[in-house]
Amino acid sequence: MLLPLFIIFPFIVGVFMLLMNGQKPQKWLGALVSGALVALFFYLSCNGKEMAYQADWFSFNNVKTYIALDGTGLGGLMLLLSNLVYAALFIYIGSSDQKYSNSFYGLLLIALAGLNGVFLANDLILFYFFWEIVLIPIYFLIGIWGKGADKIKANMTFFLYTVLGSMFMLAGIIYIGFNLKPVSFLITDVQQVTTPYFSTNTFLALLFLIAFVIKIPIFPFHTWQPTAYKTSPTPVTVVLSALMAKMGLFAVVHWFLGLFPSISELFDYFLYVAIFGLIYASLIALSTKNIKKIIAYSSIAHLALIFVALFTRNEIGTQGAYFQMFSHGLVVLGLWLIVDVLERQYNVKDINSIKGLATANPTLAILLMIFGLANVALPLTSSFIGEFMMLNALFSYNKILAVFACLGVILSAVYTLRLAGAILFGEVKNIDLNDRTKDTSGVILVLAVVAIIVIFLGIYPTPIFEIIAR
Amino acid sequence: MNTIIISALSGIILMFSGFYIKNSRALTFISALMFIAIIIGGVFELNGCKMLDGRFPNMIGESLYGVSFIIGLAALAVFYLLINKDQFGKVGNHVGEYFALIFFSFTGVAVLGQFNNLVLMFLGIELMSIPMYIIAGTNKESLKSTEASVKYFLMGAFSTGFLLLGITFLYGATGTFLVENIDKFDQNFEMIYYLGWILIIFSFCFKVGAAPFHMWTPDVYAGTPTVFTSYMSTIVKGGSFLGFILVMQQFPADAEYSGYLRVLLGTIIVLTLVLGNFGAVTQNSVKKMMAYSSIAQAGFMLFVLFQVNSVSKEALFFYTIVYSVANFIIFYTIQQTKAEKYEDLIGLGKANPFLAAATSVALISLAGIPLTGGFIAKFMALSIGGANAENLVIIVIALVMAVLSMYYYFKVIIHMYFKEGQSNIKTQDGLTTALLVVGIIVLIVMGIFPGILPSFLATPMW
Repeated sequence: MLLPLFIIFPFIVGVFMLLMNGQKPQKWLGALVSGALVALFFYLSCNGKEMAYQADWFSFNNVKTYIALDGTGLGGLMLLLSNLVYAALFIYIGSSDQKYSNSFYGLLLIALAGLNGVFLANDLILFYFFWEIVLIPIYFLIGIWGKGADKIKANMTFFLYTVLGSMFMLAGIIYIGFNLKPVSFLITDVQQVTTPYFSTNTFLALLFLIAFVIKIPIFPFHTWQPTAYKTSPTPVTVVLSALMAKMGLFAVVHWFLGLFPSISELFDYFLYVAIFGLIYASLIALSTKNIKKIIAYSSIAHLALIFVALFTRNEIGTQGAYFQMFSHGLVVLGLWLIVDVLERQYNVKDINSIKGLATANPTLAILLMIFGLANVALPLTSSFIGEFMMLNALFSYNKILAVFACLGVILSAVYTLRLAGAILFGEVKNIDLNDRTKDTSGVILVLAVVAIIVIFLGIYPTPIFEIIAR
Repeated sequence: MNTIIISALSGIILMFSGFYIKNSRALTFISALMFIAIIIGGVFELNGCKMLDGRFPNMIGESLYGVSFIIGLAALAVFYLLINKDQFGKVGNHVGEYFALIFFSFTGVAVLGQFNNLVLMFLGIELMSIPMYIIAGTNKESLKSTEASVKYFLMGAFSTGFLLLGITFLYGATGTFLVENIDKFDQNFEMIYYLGWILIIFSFCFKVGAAPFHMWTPDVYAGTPTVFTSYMSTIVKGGSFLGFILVMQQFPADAEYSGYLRVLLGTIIVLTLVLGNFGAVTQNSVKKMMAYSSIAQAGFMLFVLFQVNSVSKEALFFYTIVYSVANFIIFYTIQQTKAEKYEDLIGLGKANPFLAAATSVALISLAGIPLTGGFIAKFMALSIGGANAENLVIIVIALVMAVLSMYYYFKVIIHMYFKEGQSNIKTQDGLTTALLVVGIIVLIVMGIFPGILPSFLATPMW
């Protein structure tokens, strides 16, 4: 019975905050909600409580729909990630000098409710329901608080692009529901009609895949992403890259591979495209000077590797991909927050804006380096565990793909170190060494905690694998 | 039967009351009470208490579905009257007559819900339409309004011709006007029989604004005073669809020609969706956008006709209610802001956050995004089409068009919230606020508990 709280609690608090828009921002409320949900997650998983919930919803045309939530395995891990990232995010916004109103917090919380719903839903309609709900608050967040002259256009592109994908999926859902007629939209019931059917028909499976790869995003469906990341306010960028991208990957595992296990071999050609996208995105990251763009494209590259690893249908590769989904969420959270600090404190736009950060602000420099190295997947960081496992599996699956994936890792090292080198070292430039007015201790604390988790999981990854194994 | 009688009587009463009562608000409230009387009459009928029982055995049928649908439409009408209570007086001086016309038109709607005879169906359609032709031209100062009236009348007369010819053909092939005997046709007149059906379908397509018979819609909706456009695009459209589905349910679903019918319907749907949505995208006028949007929405509603059974009837009812509530809210905003172009809405999010939020919910519902009834409505409608494997392509097209529709619906949101500017829209009074809250609640509750509304259908209360 406690499981629906993951959705209802943030939703109600979110709506409540929207309604008290005009008042003084209640900065602590969001952190409290997501922190409480992290605690609830640990309470449920450590006490071995039943992590499933089911109730009737409605039936139409003789197909029943349930409210079915299930927080085990990858879904549980993603649930933990989303609430953890949100907690860090809220504490970060609260402790920095950013002025957001209550409706900003409220919309973020409503998006959290939707995200939790996506990771918990075990019924196809319910899944689609939450999948779409996430978009609405994000749309308003970017539209109202976004930056840059082209924010409306970027926002609309992002919105229409992802909705277009969703609509293809909805067409697939309707076809499955009312033509193949499963007993209900529960995943187990839907599997029974799709598994035999889809060994002969690939068109419908494609409808689902398009929705998911747009959300991740995988080349060539990534075009909405860099501008959306660039124009969004930082908290939204974090949600987009750390969590909404995971929605897509989670959906590939849970729904695409879950419903069409026999067909996925035919999609191997798609993996070549994805790997091409990986190299392509890495090269762009290497050639651009805009820091946000570097991280955006780096994200595309890393997600592409996870996507490919999921299709190896290999135990090690899959586990590695799951692990990396969690790890990438934390690393990218750290990177975006550091970019935000740089942007607000030192007016950094591109990698030539400042120099000598290591001299001026060593703590921040160290944190940037830790997250940078985690992005490169250096041993001792969590990314190494996941990436090693994925590359390992990929090598035994398809050598060509593995070679190009490894090339991507090398490129990732190049662009990350180029970024760090340009900002951290050299003569101090554009930084006022005497300017100590801006207090960043709260921000640093959040980043340090996240960095510690990243390193801890790099040394001792077992807790995550335990959650996955459930 | 009850609903027809009460509605007609209300029309007559209001026609004369216009002489004595000049206050448009008072007239509005009286009309709202009369619509509540229609609802009560309908509820009595559902439970078997009928006025004039059995006097017209071959004319009025016993369709509980039709009665429940009319009750739903009457409830919508109450909402419509109350939310627009300040608007009727602004159109002109003959307020009493406007309400009389609305009731006469509603009588037609009520007839369309209960006909048992093609002649009565014809009567219902004309009864519904003719007052609307007049209402379209109520703003005598405006050339556009007059144009709307004339255009509506001419096009309507044209579709009447189709309908009459179709009924004649069906009569020729079957020898009866009775709806339940429609499918018993003489094999020698097969061609004429199906031609009759096609003509009837065409004429209903005129009424619901489906392509390629939609041409009148944008000009008429834009020219008609907004307060009546709101009625036209919701209750009249709902009534037309009610008649449409009731006559279509007599079409033999297993006939060898039913495949052709599906092709015909599919073509109409695709055309409607494409022309409606592309038409809306290119508009600068919000009202014209809403006119094209109503064409596009008709495209979705037509999906329920693919297989007429209790499920599709439920879907149509659900769609009509949800779509109408959203439309009422948006048209209310258009009137309040006197919005001609999108730019007139700039700053509404700051000036009147509540109205902007209500409008956003309504737009999101029209766009068919979850958490609102609009999503469930589209889902239900499409699922009826989804029962045929061949329809997958049409469904994909429909959903891609739904994405296009988000472009123009969200353009309103962009102007309300994302663009810098001033707006001086004052807050609305308590009753309107309460109605807007009711509207939002209906839209969201329908999105979360979609089972509620269909459970009211055709179920007696005691």
